[in-house]
Amino acid sequence: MKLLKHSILALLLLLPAVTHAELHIVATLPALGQIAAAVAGADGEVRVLARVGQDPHFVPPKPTLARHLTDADLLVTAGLALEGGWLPPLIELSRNRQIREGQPGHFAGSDAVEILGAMARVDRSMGDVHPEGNPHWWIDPLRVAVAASALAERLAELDPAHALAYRQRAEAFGKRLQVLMTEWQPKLADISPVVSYHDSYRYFSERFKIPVAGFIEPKPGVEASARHLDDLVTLIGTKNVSQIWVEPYHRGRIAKRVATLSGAVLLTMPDAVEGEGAEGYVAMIELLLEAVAGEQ
Amino acid sequence: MRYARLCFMLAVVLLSSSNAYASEIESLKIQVQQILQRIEQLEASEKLLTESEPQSAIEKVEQAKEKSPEMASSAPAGRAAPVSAGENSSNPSISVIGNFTGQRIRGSGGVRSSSFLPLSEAEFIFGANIDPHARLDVTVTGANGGMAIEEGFITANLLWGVNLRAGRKFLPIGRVNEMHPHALIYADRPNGLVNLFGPEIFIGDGLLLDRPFFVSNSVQTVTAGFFGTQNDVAFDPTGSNQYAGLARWSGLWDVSDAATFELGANYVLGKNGIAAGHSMTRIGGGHFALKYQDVSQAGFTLEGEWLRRWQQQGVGVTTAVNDGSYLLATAALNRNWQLFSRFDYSRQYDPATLGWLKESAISAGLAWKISEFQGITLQYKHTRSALAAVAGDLGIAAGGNANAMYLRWVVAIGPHGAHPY
Repeated sequence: MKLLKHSILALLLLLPAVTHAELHIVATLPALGQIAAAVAGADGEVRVLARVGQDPHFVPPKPTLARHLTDADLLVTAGLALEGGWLPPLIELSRNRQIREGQPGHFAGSDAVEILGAMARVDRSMGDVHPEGNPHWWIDPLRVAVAASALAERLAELDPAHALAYRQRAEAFGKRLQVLMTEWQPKLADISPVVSYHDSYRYFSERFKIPVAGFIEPKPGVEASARHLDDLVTLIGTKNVSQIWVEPYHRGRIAKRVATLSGAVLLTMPDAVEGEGAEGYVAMIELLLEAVAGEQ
Repeated sequence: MRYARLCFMLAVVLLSSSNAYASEIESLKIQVQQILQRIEQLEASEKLLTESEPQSAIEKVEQAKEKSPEMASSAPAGRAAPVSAGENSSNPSISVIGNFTGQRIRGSGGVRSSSFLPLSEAEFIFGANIDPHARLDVTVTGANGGMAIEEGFITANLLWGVNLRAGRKFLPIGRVNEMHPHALIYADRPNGLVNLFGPEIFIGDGLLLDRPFFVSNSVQTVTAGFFGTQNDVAFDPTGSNQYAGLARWSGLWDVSDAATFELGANYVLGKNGIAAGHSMTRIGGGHFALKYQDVSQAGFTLEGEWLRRWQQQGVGVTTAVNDGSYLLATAALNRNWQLFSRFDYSRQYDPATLGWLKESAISAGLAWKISEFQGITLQYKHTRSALAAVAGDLGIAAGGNANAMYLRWVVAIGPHGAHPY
């Protein structure tokens, strides 16, 4: 009788762990992980493949990363082939059919938002371009609000028991971003043109109406020649460019040289920062805004 | 009157010719109209793409809420349709890799040879899913004026996490043999592997089963297989087909977020056909790799492998024993520039002297990755006391020395997949 009582007690203690079957969500990039965590909350466990500061185009496809994908219910990607150079072998190694492209467990944020920079016809002579559009959409808070809403719908489909909670969290996150936008936008009024290393900030610059005068890369993914840099320094002078934005993973030496020669301020602009969920994402946008507004 | 007759005749000729070509002209008219309509359609879609401002994000939030899950995952209006993907969805992905390798060799005995960037190898790679159960990858290689299927294998996921690869494949022995030459940082083949398997990649036709196990922060992969090979250095010198079995273990650990360590071991056993009786070839060895890469893609690797081959020559004849190994260090200055140095060491047991014949080589080089799709490598290699297979490859006498310079330019067109880590 005593044994039976102890057994029932042990079962009751274990029950919450058994019944709380949270979704396993894997995000390819840190910012996407934060967005996913903001929507999934306590109903999902989010793991991220790339590290903060890593180039999203060139994450080393370590086979050890595939272990996160083996039991994933949902894979959240940026889409538009941004992760095409490293994600497919990891999905293959994981053998998880649920998260393959086209399956319910594969969510590309780019499918949910308005995409900029789509091209009808591309050729590799144009550099490493993404024919279906610029994939760096998560740097625009309002597009993120849209993507979060679509993500909530996908989570609701996979886990109907918590559908309402996903939708409520996405709505709250979206509304928070919309309110913050009204505070953020005036901060960046009248910013003079900028130059960026790669075309990573198009969504951010268009959202905050910051003109981009040129790029350090002559074409996406192509190293700058001395002549291109000379022309760029001249352009910076003529267009009154005040800032040069560079991704943390790009070559600081070239950007520093251009900044020194032109007198423009060099800003390292991260596309993700450490932090959990919505707070982490908002911290990244605020860091960018402070940097651009000269508050750093 | 004569003038009027001429005019009449000319009019008749023109009228008859216009009647003769009326149907063609009508057809041309229709084609021109179709082309004009198509141009208008293209202009309209381009205008839509360039002029359409992003819809108010708040409106989009509202729309997304109303969307069904299916709609939420579909492309929004105004986005360019993935035309190319749609058009090619029934075709395999096709890529072509051109390997232009020039070399200049100066060896013992006044040996001299040189070539300047010939197309030494062209790989045509085709790959696609066959159906939901399996995939086919085929590599056709053109080299030395001939074409051959270098690899062609079916990959399928079986039960219990087991993967099957069936067909012709670079055999997973050590680290390098399974890799395509264009994916290697250096332009040549390590001397140790040339001495054990010959100057070509060790290929087998058969069946391989592998099972990865994810254990804590590591992946442990166990492979077993059975294959036929016509390798004339490790197996039958006449090049006739011989059968062998293969077992391999490879483990990869995360040392930190930026570093990994790999360790592995291999064993191959098969009949070699050298003697009329039961003569066997055994190959055993291990490999390791330490890799570090920071977020700016600067980093280093240190890797090596050592393999021993026991080749029975028949009853009463001493078994031929060969060792082949290399140690490679690379330093990535950034995404585009890499330095490397490699030390090759081989030895062969000499029954006549009851000692070992030893060969060593040192290489150093610079690799420039111009873009994701082309790279140039410049390499210098000095080989001392070359063993027979390497000597044959360099065109010198066995035991001789050689200096070699390699200049390799690798280019890729088409949708080439990611290289293995």
